[in-house]
Amino acid sequence: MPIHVNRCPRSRIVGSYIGITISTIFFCLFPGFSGATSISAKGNARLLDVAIGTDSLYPTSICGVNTTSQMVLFSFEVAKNDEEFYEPIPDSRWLAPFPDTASAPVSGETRKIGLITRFPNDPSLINRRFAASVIVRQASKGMISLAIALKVKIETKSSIEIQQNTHRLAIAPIKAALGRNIDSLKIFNGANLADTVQVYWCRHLGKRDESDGVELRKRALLWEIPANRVVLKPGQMEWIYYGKKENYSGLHGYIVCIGKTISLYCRLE
Amino acid sequence: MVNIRFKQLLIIATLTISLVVAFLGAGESMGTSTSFSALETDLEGEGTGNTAFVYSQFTMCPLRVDLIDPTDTSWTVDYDIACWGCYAHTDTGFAFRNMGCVGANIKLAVESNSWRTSVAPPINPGFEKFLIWAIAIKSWHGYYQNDDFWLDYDTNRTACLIDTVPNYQKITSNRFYNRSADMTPYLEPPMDATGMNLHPNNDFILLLLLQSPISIDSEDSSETIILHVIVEPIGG
Repeated sequence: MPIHVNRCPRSRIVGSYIGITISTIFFCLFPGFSGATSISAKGNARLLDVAIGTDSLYPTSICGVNTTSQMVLFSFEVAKNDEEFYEPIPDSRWLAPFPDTASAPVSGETRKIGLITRFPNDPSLINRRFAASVIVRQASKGMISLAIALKVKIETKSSIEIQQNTHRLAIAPIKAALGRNIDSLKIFNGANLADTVQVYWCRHLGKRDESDGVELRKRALLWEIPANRVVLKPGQMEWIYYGKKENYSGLHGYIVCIGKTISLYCRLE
Repeated sequence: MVNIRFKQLLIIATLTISLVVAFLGAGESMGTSTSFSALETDLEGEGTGNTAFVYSQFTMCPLRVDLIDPTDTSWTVDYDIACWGCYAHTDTGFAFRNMGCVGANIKLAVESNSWRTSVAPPINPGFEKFLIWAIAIKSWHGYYQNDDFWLDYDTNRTACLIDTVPNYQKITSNRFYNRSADMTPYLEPPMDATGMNLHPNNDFILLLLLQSPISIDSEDSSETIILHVIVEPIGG
């Protein structure tokens, strides 16, 4: 059923335009004016090697920034987020800000909060990456609540073992050493459908370049051939062999696996 | 004579130092979240018993967003509309400005935790879904009409439907804006495929219409229904 809204009078729109213009001029003349609703915060967090089945407290650089002329109380909460290569954290209660409120003096910042990880003791959480946000807000009146979402990226413990009961594309390990010797990682298709996985090495995550500092190969009968695409049936696993080329001395980079529904990477150290 | 030269030198030196300081200060405040270098630390997570490290405490300058208009953000209930349970807020729109030094994307959500209804209580208080119909534009041009909201709804041109409560959902262009259909540059939202890209010192205006799942007392609406406007750094 179509829905209709009454036409807005032209005069109201013109009035709004004038109001915004006046507000803009006022802001330019008085940048310190704090009458408008405002929120400011900074920082992010990247938690590596997060253990499962135990609580851990991690420091972050996340804090609220007071832009007003009086002391402000900030609140912090965790929400799910989606990022390339990262799954939304399954349960936002697995990550708790500490403290969840903090005050900031005039023209100052709150203390940098910590994050408590509370991942359950579930082996399927090994070799996983999750994304979340810490949402920073301050008490506000009216219908608008302004907030800042600061990113949190989580990497659980890395292992060479793959859980066979996983129901998605998986790799193991998710971080590995890179040297002159040939090493290997596993790609496993735990989904019900076959998958075609693009595999490549890159120096910077998300930026596929043409540089070839690390060589990727896979086994085919009696030979090893370059690996840039792997077709996996449901429940099938494939080994990828990698090694640094002799003349390469740059960044170790990442081995990236792009499946049909999920993208993964192994961080080389 | 010597004194005058000394004063001149002093003034030149002062100006030079001021310029250098201003230049360094300006350089520090520019950039996006992806351009900030990572500082690696070897802090251990407490109570793990395992090796647990935290890296990359990004030294990022703050994000900041201001609502610059209107100052009165109470709900406006349009009693004349044919839509049962709709709350129109496109009369004025909400003008925001990125006052920080990092490019940002915008997420929207609506939340209502304390329902008091005039018709019937919802089955799951606080979890019924709102629909937000949102239009983001760069600036007022004086020609946009409320009617266009629903005209565009029919053709899926500019109105973005956000299914929410309180699902923080990013406004994206592919479901929101059709360049071939909206030729006027004023309607072009500041966004790309990753969401609304609100760059430092830029404004954007949100025209909103919220469709509630049930009828709500207008007296309650200003305190019980909260529109969350969430700013998230680009990249990082």
